[in-house]
Amino acid sequence: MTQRAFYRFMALATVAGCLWILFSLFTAKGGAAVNTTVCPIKLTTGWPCTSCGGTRSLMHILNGDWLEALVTNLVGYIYFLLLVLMPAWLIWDIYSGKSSMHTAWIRTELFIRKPPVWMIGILLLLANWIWNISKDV
Amino acid sequence: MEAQKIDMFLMSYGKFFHPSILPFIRERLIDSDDSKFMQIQTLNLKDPTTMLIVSLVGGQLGIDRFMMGETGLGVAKLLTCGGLGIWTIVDWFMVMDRTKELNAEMLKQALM
Repeated sequence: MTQRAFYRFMALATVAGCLWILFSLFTAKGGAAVNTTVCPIKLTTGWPCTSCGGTRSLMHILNGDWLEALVTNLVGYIYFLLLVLMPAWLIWDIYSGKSSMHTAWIRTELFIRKPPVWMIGILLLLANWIWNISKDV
Repeated sequence: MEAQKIDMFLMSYGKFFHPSILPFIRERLIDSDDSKFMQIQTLNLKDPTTMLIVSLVGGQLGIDRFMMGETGLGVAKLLTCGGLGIWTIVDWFMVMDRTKELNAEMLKQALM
């Protein structure tokens, strides 16, 4: 992906993510996000995927309920980190004319491609998936 | 490179590239050295039809992106339920073209 295409994609992803969070906040009942399933795996098989419950987990974090977020889905913490980091980083790169996010992205890709890293990643995802299924998120 | 070898390559792998760039590939292959033939035969070119099937079956988990070597996008797709399902559907229509583009890039690098 070229640098220009990367920033275009990241801007689109950030806007889409923020819109989804706003939608979830407005439709939330009693502080908790409504279970609005859009996951193709859950819709077709009825079984949750490894990321199902991520939005609900993020809503718990935004309400200050960090423990409930942990029980709902660990992915929520990654969403929260991205929610804080991405818009600020994107704006910083655009205004300063630097490409630090693109450089970090390439470095992260190279890091993930190392066999021990992706093997641990897959194991963690599988464990989270099994936990999600057992909880019936 | 010999015309017979080029024809053989294009017959076997022609569908892996955009039809519009096939004349350019032929020209580049004619100009390149015979030693390059073995190199391009060992290239890990992806079949666009296979990638479409992978995208239809495992696109929601980002498997198509991982296979194309776009690890970061694969992880992003995996962690967002396939971009709330929307990205998955968009990729069903884009994956064949993207695969052909990546194949062309790979061939270009090999012929450099």
